[in-house]
Amino acid sequence: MAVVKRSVSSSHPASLTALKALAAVVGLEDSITFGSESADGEYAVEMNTTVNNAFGASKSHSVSGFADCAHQICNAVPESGFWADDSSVKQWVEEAAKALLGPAYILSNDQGKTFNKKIIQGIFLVNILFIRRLLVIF
Amino acid sequence: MDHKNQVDNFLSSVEKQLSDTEKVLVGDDVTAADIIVSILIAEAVSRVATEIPQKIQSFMKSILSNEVVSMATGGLTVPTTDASDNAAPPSDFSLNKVIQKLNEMSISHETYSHKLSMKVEELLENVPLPAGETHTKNVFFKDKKHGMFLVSTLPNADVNTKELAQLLGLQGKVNMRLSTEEQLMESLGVQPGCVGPLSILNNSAKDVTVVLDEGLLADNIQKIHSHPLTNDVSTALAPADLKKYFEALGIEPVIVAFNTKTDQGGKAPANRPPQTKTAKGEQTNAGKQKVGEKKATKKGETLLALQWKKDENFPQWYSDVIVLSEMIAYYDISGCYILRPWSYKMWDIIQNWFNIEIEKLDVENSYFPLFVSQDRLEREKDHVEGFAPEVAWVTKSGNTDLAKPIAIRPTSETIMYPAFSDWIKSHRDLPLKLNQWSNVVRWEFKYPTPFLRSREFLWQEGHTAHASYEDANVMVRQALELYRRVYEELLAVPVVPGYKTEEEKFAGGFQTTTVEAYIAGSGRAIQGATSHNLGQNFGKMFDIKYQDENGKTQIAWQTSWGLTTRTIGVMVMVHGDDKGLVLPPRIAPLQVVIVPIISKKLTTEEAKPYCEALLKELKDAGVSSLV
Repeated sequence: MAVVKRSVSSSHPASLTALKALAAVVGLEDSITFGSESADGEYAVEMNTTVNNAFGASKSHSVSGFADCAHQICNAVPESGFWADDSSVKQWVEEAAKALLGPAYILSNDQGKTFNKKIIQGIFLVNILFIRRLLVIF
Repeated sequence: MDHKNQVDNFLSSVEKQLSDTEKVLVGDDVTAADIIVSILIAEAVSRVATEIPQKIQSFMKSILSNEVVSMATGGLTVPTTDASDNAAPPSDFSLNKVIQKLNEMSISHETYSHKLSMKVEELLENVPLPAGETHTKNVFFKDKKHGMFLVSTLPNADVNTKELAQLLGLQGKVNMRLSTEEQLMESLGVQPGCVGPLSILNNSAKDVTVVLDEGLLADNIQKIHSHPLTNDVSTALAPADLKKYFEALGIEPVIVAFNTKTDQGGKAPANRPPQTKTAKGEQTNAGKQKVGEKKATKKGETLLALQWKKDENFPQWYSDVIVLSEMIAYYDISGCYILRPWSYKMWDIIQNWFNIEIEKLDVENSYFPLFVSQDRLEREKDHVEGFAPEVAWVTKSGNTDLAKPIAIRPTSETIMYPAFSDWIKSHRDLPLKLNQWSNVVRWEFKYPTPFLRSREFLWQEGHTAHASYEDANVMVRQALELYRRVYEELLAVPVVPGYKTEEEKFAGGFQTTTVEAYIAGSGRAIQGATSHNLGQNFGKMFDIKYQDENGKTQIAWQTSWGLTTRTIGVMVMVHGDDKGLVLPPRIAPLQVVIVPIISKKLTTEEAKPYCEALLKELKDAGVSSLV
C-alpha cells in the first residue's frame, strides 16, 4: 500500500488558505500538512511529497511556486478534473497569484486577518464542498 | 503600480473573460482556476479597498459562500490604521442576519460554531446534544401547484412527500420535489446544507409555507438547535422562542406529526395519530380525516417504493434501493453496515463460484488471525506509519488494560508474509498459493457508502509466491480473468481489464492490473478489483527466500489480488432502476417464485402437486425457486 505524505509550507497565509481550499475541494484536506514559515523572508511557497513504499524504498520530491503547488494538489486526485487539460487553467492560476498574492501578502490588516480566520474556519466551503459532493459520490 | 491598481487590473481581466464565449472561468466544469481566482480575489479585496464588479461577484458566489463574498465586498469596512489599533474585534456572529434579527426581537438564544455539517447525520455526529435538546432535519420542497414548503422535523423523522401531501391536505395533483439550489437561494437565501427554520427570515415574498414537526414542540424538548443561514454555526432556541420568532415575522407554521425512522432504516409504528395543526394549536380538518381514510386503502402506504429516481438523486436512490430491498441495514457505528441475508447470499454465490475456480488453479483457502501484535505491525516502519491513522486497536480485556495494544488487521501482509518466510525454504515449496476470505477494518472513511466504502468490509485476498516472474505473471492474469468473469458472468457488469499507471499501481509492486467498471448513474468509472505482480520487493522485505535446484538462494516472486463486497454495490448501481433492485439471474438468491392462481376451478389442494412438481423440476435444474 502506498503511503503518500504531503506538506505545504509558505511564508504567506493567503497562499496557504487558497491551497487549503483547493485541497479541501479535491478531498485531501486531512492528508496534507499545512505550515507557515517565517514571514520575514521573501515570499515562498513549497510543497513536499513523500511516497513511502510500505515494503520498499521511499521517494520524495518537492515543487515550489504557487501554481505548481496548486497543480500538484489537483494531480493528486486526477479524477477531480480540477486541473483540466487546458493551459489556460495554469495561466489563470499564475496570473491570479501574481496579481493578488502581493497585495494580500503585504497589506496585512485586521480585516485580512479576520477574513483569513473565517476562511480557515471553513465557512467558504459551503459551495465548493457541495460541488465536490456532486462529483464524488464514492 | 500600487496594489489597488494591480488588483483592479486583474479584476478587469476577469470581468472581460467572464463576458467571453469561450470561458475558462465558470465554464462547463469547475476547475482549479475558478477556485483559486475566487479565493484570491476575496483575499486581496479584503485587504485592498476596491469594488468587485457585479459580474465577478456572481462568479464568486458560484464558488464561495455568500458570507465570504459579502465580507470581501464590503461586509467589513476598511478602517484606518488608528482605528484598527483600537477597534474591538467584531463579534463572531454579529454579521449574521438571523442573529441580528433575534437580538432585535430580544429573543434569547445561544449561538455557537461547529464543524461544517452538510447533513443532519453529520451534525448529530459533530455536535452531540444532551437529552431535551435536538437538532433539526430540514427539507425544502416545491410543488408546481401548491407552492413551496420548508419542512423542519426531528432528526429521525421520516419525511415522505406522499404522506406529507396527505398530512397537509393538499388537493388535486401533487408532485412535491426537492427544490433546486437556485430556488433555495432565491426563496430562502441559503445554500444546500444551510436550510433551517430560521432561514424563513429571508423569504421576503412570504411564499413559503413553514411545516414544523410536532415532535419539535413536545414537552420534553427544551432547546431546538438549527442553522442561522450557515451550516458551521447553530443557534439554540426554546420552542416557545422559535414560535415567537415566527410570530414576529408574521409566519404561521403548520404543525404536522411525522413518523420516526428506526435505526435500521425502517419505519417505527405510528404511535401518534397523524394530524395537522396550526401553530396556535387549531387542528385542520383536511389533514386528519384524509390521512386516516387513505392510509388503510391507498396502495404504496407501506413505503416500500423508492422515494428517489435514479437520475434525480443517485446517492439517495442507491441508499433507498439497498435498504428497501433488505440488503443492508444501517448500524449505529458510522461506516459499519449489516449485510442482511439477501446480500450475504449474493456474497455466498460469489464465494462459491470463486472457490471452485481458484481450486482449479491449485489455490488453497486458509485463514490467518484477525489480530496483529504491535511488534509485528511495527516491524515495517513505513507500513505502520501508513496505516496508523486507520488502524483500530484493542486496548482492554474486560476492564484490564492490555500490556500491549493489539491491532485489528487493516490488511494481511504483516500477518501472512512472515509465515511465508517460515514455510518457503526450497524450490519444492513453490508455488505457494493461498487465498483468504476475511474481513478487514480500516477506520478511515469520511463519507462511507454501503458496499463501496465501509470501515469493516468483506473480501478475498489471494497471496502467492513463485519461482519466477513469468509464473507470477501467469497467476496475476489468471486472477484478473476470474475477476472479469465475476463481474461479467455473475453480475452482468461489463468491465475493462487493463494496467494501472505507474502512479496508480500498488506501491512496491512491479505491475498492477485492474478491471474497471462504469457507473452510468454517477458518470464515473470505478475500480472493480486489482491483481498485482509484486515482483521480488516483498520477498526481500519479508525475507522470503528459497534454494533453487542448483542450491542457490533465490528470492520468491509474489502476487496478490483482491475482490471485495464492492462487487455487489457496483452491480446494484449498474442494474437497479427507478422501481428498485434489478438482479441478473446468476447472482439472484431466489430466481423463480411460483405463485399458484387459486380459483373456483383450481383449489389450493389441487394446485399443490403441480406446484411441487414444478418446484422440484426447477430445483433439479439448479434454479433457486420457491412456491
